[in-house]
Amino acid sequence: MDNSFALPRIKPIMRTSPWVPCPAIEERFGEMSKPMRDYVKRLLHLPIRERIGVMMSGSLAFTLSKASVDLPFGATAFGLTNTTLYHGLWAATLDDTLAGNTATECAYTSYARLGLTNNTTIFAAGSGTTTYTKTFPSDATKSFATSTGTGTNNTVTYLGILNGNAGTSADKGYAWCSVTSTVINNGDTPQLAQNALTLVQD
Amino acid sequence: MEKPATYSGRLVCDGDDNLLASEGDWEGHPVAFHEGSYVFVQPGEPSHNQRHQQNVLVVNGTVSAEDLQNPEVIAELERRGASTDPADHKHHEPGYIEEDDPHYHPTAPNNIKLLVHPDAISPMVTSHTEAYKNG
Repeated sequence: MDNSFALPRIKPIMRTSPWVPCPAIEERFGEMSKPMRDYVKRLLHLPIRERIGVMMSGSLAFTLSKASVDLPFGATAFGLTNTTLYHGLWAATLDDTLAGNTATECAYTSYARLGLTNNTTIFAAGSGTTTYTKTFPSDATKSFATSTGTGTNNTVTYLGILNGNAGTSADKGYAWCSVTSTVINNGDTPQLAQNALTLVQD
Repeated sequence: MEKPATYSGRLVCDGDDNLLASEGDWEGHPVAFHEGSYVFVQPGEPSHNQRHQQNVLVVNGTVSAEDLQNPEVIAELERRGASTDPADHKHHEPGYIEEDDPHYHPTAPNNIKLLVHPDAISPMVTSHTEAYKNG
């Protein structure tokens, strides 16, 4: 029987090229398209709280993406009822197929979707040219209903926006985003801070 | 028409501490959870949230794992009262989904397939007084 073991060989780490400091992103501007340059410049100049908003993970839902292309290309009337936009919380991953009957919507006792009147007080005009950034709710913090019991699906990780509150597939998805994992217990009131949601269109 | 004592149906909240009836003859009227049912709130009475709120939870967006290394981002999240635990942000990355997520599907694109309730029952699964009959 062989009895063997390995002896460590000491090998110093040697640099093989001159030390080069990591370039600032501005030094890469020559390799970027102008829209990308403008986007990075805008990010660099944003206050940190807005940069966090820009980097939020989410998307427009398919129904809204389709409607927003069919309107300018084909002049198809915008058909998604939107006098009120309903914001719901979910305990599982969402994607662009979001609809009003998507399972795992939060169901702590007394949970209800947050209905926000669709006007420029709450959804104020955004800013930007090469990319358009809109934040809402523009006017104030908005509260969901206070929990009166644990219920089910009370650890929320996603927020979805719909154009209805029927609770069926008739409620079409507008947009969704991920939120920090939040457990909602009896007596808790979930809130959306003023301008908590950021939508970026490029 | 005389307003009944209790409400049964879909619910919605208006963002200003009010829970409202969302369908039927009394749509838009404020209601509040009281001893197992939803009663209409009379003028001058406290709203649903005023009756039950003990704590406020701010719902915050997620940030990437890279951003969680940035002290400025950490400071801003702390200022907002948001979690800085990477575990609470891990679903930030597009396409990230865990196998125990109800919407995980092994062969679907990005492993995500949303489950849906049949329209016949979905209105009463949540956001509805019937969903909360048993607390």
